[in-house]
This record gives sequence, structure tokens and C-alpha cells, in this order.
Amino acid sequence: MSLEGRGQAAENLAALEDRRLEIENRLRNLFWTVSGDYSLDIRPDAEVFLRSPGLALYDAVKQGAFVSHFDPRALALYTLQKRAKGADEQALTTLTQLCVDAAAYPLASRERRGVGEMRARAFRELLAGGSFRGRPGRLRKCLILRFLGQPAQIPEELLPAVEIIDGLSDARDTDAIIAAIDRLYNSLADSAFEALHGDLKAVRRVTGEELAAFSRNQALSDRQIQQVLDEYLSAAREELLKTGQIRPARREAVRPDDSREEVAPPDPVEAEKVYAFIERQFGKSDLPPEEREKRNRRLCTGIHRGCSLHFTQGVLQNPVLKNTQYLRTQMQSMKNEMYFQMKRQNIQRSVTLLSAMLKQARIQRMDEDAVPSEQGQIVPGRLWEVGRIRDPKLFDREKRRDQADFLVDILLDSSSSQTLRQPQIAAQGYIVSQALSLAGIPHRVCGFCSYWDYTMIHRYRDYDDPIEANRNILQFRAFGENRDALAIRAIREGMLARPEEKKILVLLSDGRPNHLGVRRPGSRHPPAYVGEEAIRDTALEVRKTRSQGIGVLGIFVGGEEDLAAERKIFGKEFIYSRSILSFAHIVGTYLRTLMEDSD
Amino acid sequence: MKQDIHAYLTGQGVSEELIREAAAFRERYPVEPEFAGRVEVPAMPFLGKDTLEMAMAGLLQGENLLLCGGKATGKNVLCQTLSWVFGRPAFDISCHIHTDSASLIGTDTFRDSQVQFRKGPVALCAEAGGFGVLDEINMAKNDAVSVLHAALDHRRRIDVPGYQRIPLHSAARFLATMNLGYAGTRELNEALVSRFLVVDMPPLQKETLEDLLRRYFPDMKDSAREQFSGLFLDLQRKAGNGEISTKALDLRGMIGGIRAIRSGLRPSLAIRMGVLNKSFDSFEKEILEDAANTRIPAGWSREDVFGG
Repeated sequence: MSLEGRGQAAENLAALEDRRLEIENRLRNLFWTVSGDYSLDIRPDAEVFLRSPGLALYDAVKQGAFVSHFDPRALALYTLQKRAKGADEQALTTLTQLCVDAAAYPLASRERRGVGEMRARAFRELLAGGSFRGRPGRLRKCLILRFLGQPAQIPEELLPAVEIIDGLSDARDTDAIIAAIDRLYNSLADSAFEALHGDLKAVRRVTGEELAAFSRNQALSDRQIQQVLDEYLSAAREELLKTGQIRPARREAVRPDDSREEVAPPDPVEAEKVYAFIERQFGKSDLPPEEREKRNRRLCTGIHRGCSLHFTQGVLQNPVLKNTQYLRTQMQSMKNEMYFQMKRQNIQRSVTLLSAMLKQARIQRMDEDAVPSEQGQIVPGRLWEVGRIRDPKLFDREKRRDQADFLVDILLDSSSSQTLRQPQIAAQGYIVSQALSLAGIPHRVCGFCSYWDYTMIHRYRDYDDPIEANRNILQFRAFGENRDALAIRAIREGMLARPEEKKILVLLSDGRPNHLGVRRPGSRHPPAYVGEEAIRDTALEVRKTRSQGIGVLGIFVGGEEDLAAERKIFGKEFIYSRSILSFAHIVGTYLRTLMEDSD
Repeated sequence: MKQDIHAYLTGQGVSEELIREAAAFRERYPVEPEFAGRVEVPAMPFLGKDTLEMAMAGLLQGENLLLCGGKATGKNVLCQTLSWVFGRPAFDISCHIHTDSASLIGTDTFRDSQVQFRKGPVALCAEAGGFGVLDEINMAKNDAVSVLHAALDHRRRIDVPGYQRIPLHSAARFLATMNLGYAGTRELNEALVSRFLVVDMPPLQKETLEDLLRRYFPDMKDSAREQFSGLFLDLQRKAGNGEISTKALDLRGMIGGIRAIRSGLRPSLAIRMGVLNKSFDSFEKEILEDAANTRIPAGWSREDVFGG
């Protein structure tokens, strides 16, 4: 690759990383628009979009139309069966893509008149950058040229194939598409296939064991066979529903399609033991069992299915018994307290400064300006104007700047990654909370961490708690992992139920949502929550929260290597702080700015 | 678009009894000449039998109505239609964060060398026996709206400190609208809600939307009508699933855009102006554009939309 080419590739990669989430969400949205079913999911390919936006957009449209009329899983199963019998993957994929397009396009364009233009754009991009090798490739090129109205003579050898593909324009079921692909493959790609390996019926008779053996070439249990099949079918589906490739795509690692994976319910006796353990470790739940169940059903969905939420005031406030965990938390609380006492003067000064700043901003907002008016509250001092000046303004009319109430939620990542700075986090949380209390702004402070399949929401103080409750923040203790998006979801629900107009969520995070969960009998083993997927999910949750009118500020105190992830999660509204000691100052300044600007 | 009330109600399938009772109401309370201008014939009356019947039945029994629904569900159109059907003057009262008792009931002013009470829209409506439309009532603070409690319940009066009580005219009704989805809205308190009958406004359906476009644009081609209504429903579904905000879910904007096509503007540009540009978030706009591109080809011209 030339230097210039490498530069371009690097630029594309940077652009991709910056916009991956947006692009994927855009493609997913187009898929949903056409399929009309927002419960379905696809794995959009942002790289294709960067190389060829028209093609990626048309693929999303076509996939939406295809999944709403046909069965993509059945189609993928057939191609695996055919390949297990010895069919060539590339030729089979090309022919499948052609047939899928031939069946889906008429349906999509009948309903949506703009799809024709989108297809033409995709075809032009494909023509400019794609390769058309072999007879399936030549067939694709002929069909593209014909659709674009460009003069092209279809070779006689391809005429029957064109006829088969044209016949799919009124295909009603997946079997008709499979039959067409099979005929095309046997005539265009491998004319000896049927004689050697049997007809379509023989292909469809290939069993799960044979498929798994073909994929992995080793003995597998029934469950593993099903898993291998699911992995393949899920990955193949995306490939088969594409229109074509501009350049050979990088072969992606096949991942299990966990959107389909069921989370098995645990044994009730074991589950009870797990719950009892969680209560002993983190404190009794704030909620009655029925409400707990309701919230879990409501909030632990999608990627968080199989998880449970545990709302608690902590093991020191609400212990089941005074066990080792209680003592450790008590010890940490004492360390936090010692740090607090050591820094007492500094902390008090910070509280005073911060609360003064917030009070001033609040007072400015609540300021009432009175303007002279012809109606309103009479001002006796102006009565002399009657009969002496024209149009006297004897009244004052109040003009309030803004009476909107503010609500603030502080959510602290209390996973093990914060272990080294527990006293500092506790002190900074206290400073913000104390300042907000003094400024009369209702606020809640919570910590969150995950252990087994539970995500704990530890509430240190609630919105309407008295100022003394702020001292509970000194009970901060870091433990376990962190499933950020689920915590945000749980906190958001509480915020939305509040009557205040302006709501702000401040999240202290390390930029690494991470919850593998230890597999233990009685826990439900939710899907692992790590890496890109966890970052993407947290980012979507942050955006969803913002779209519901809640401002979200991320404060990042992790390592520089996680900065990119943090930027993905919070977009522009995040602040990187090398030291936790500036947390309170950052939050205070941010809130003041919001209060001053929110008109 | 001159409409005949009886023909409209019959066309919507409203029961004969309700139509008769509404006619009797109009006869019992003829509109005073000074308020005649406030009884407007809607350019496009509300479409939807069940909602119309619920609202009419409630008003005939002397109740006030709270119309709850998302954007573009026709809350204000229904208010205007009801004012027309019952022949009562409409008083529009837009509620907002700064709404207070003075802006609703009234306040002092200086007239004829003395301090007098200057009536606000609620007081005027109460005296004239009008239909007071409290638009976006949940934008106002609960304490501001609490001055209406006595007007909305069985007492049917407004007490103004320092002045006489204002009794409500027996034809006066209050129609409040609310949309819980907007930023800045709040839930109403129980005391206020208990003074209304609540009508849930259903989201627009395909048939209603096509019917509406047919009435606005009788010469629009069927294929174009299908695409424009389809696009609106796509966006409605998208907003319902929280993928976009409701900014672009703007039926007025779409109708305005379609009107611009008559002047020769390309449909893809008209829809951009009327709908897509309502969102100022570039990312959201891309999603909207994609949805619009599947429906409205860039190559379409006026002739593809309007025929004959």
C-alpha cells in the first residue's frame, strides 16, 4: 500500500472509530423503519458504510424488507447444508445475495417509492468498486447494468439464470428462494453437484451433527451443536442479505448471537440462597419482594436479561447480620472518616465555596424583575401620574426569569477499579452533596457495582433526606464489577418520576463497563458485559437518558487508555480529570453553568 | 372549507342521539353577537368517531375535558371542532412555566380614573359561556392552575380577592390538553385531574391520516398520499420507540411542505423543509432523511404528487 493509501486508511479508521456508534445506529434505524419491528436486531457494518454509504443504506433497507416477509434463518441453514455437501462458499454466497435482492426489492419498492433510487445508488457504487469474477459475478454485473438501464448484452449462457432470478419477483416464501438458489448453483457454479451430492431434498436432509462436524470437525454434544449452528447462522445471515462487496470483507470472528440465547431460570432454592448472600453482603433491600420483581422485569431486559437489581442503603445502614463483610465495610468507612477528618478544613472550605456558587446561581434564576405596566400590582408612589402624563403605568408586573426546579443525581462507580481512591471519592461526593443541600437543591447520591448476577444500587442519601444524611456517603466502599447501563437505567426511572423540570445525572466512571459475573449455582448467568458491546450499550443508555430530557455529565477518572471509550459513552459532555480531588469543583462549575444558561 | 355540522357528525358515524343533543345545546345557548367571531369553522375538523363521541357526551353532561396524547394526535383540532359543534366561543389559554393566577383570571388595571379588575381569559370565558382551551396545561405549575379548582368543580365559580365572585355561565366548559412527552412537562396533581374527564387521544392511524390528506389535497395522487402518510407513520413509530424525538413528528409541517409542492418545489425538498429540518440534531436528521429517502424519491416532481 502506498504512503498515501495508508494515510487514507488511517483516516478512515479514525473516522470509523469516531462515528461507529452513530453509523451503526443509523443503519439499524433504517432496518427498523422498513421492517417496522423494533424488537429485531441486526449487526450493521459501519466499515461498509464508510467505503460505500449507498450500499450500506440499501442493505439495511433490503434486510428490513426481507426479514419481514421471509425467514433468514432458514435461508442461512440451507446454505450451511449446501456447503456441508461440498458447495463453494463464494459462489453460493453471491447467488444467495442475488436471489435475496431479487425477492426483497419488489416488496420494498412497492411499499416505498424511494427504494428504487437507493438501489440504483448502491448498484452504481458496486459497479465502480466491486469485482465480478466467475459466472455468478458476471450474472450480478448483467443484472446491475440492466437495472441501471445501461446497454449490456446478456450472454446466452446466463439467460436461464436471469429468468430464474426474475421469477423471484413474486416469491411468497423462503422455500421458493432456496429452490431458486439451488437451481442457480447447480447450473451456474457446479453442474456436477447434483449428480455427485444429490438434489435439493438430499441437501435439506443434512443433519445438525453433520453440520457441526463440518464446521468444527470434532465430536460435540447436542447443546454444543446447537450453539455452533446458532453462531454460524447468525453470522451467515448478515452476509447473505448483503447486496455485494466493494472489496473482500475481513472475515469477522463468529460470535454467538446472544440476542437469542435464553437465560435459564435458576433453581428456586439456590436462587434464594444467592439472594440471602447478596443481602448479607450489601444490606437488606429497600423494596418489598413484589416491587423488586416488577422492577427487575421492567429494567433487566435486552443485554441485561438475567440480571437483577438490588436497591439498598448499604450493609451498615441496613445489615442482615454483622458478618465479615459488615466489618470490612465498617473498616473502610472508618478509613474514609479518618481521611475526612484529616482534610476537614479543606473539605469545609470547598463546601462553602461550592454552596455559595450554587446559591448565587439559584438566586439569580429565581430573581423577580418588576416592570412598570398598565396592569398588575398597584404602586401607590406612581399615582401622581394620573392626569399628568399620558398612559401612566401605575402598576408593576412581575417578570420571573426562570422558576424551573433542579434535580441532581450523583451516581458513583463503586466497582473494584475505584479501590485505590475510596476515601477521596467519599470526600468529594460528600462535598458536592453538602453544597447541594446548602443550596437547597434536591439530590440523590448512589453508588453502583455488580456481583454475580446482581447489580447493586447503593443509595447513600435520597432526594429529600436531611443534610445529616450526607455523612452516609463516607460509607463508600468499592467492590465487584460494574454494569453501567443497567445502573443508569435504574437511576433514570427514579429521576423521571420526580416533578422537577431540569434533571441532571452526574456519573463518575472509569470508562470500562465490565461485568463478567462469576458463574455460581443459583445465579442466572446473564450474558457477559464487556468490551465494545458494553461500551456501545452504555453509550446508548446515556443517549436514551438525554433524549428523555435528563442532562448527563460523565466524569472520567480512569487511565488515558480508556479515554476513547469514555468519549464514545458520553459524547461531548464528559470531563476528564486526572485526579478525583477535582470532582466536586467540576460538578459545581458544571451545575452553575447549567443553572445560568438554562433559560 | 365550509362544513355542515350535521353532515360532518353523521359522516364520522356519531350517534344520532348525540347529534340531536348537540343541536339542542346550540339552540339553548345561541352565541352572542360580540363573540360570534370566536366560533370558527375548523379548516379540517377532527376525524375519529369514538373520541368525538366521548368528548361530546362529557361536555353535554357539563363536564370539563382533559385531552391527553402525544404530538400530532389532534388535541387542538378536537377543541376547535367541539367549539364549532356546540356553537360556543373558544378562548385559547396557552399555559407555560410563567403562567400565574393573574394571567388566567385577571389582574388590576387603571381605567376611568379608577383601579378596576381587568379580566383574564378564564374570567372572560366564564362570563361568555365559552369553551376555555387550556393548552398544554401541564406546562404550568400546579399552584398556578389551582386557582381554577372552584371553576372546574361543582361550585362553578371564580373567586377574585377584592372583587365579586364570577359565576360560570351554564354553557361554559374547560378543555385542557396535555402531552407528557415534551421536555418541561409535569404530571398534573390528582386534585386537578379529578376535575376533568380524561380522553386519551389515540395516535394517528393510516386510514385517518390518508383521509385527512385526501381532504386537504383532493387532487393528490393515491400513490403519493400513500408515501406521505407512510412516512409520517414511520416517524410516529420511530418516536414511539424512542429512536427520535417528536420534533419532526409534525403534521402541520408535512401539510405545509406538501402545499409548497404545488408551487413547483421538488417533493424531496418540500419534505425536508416541512419535516426533516424540524430536528436540529445532525445525527437525528440523518435518521429522518434515511426514512424519508425510502418513501420520497429525489426524482419526484410536482406531477408525481398532484394529478389532473
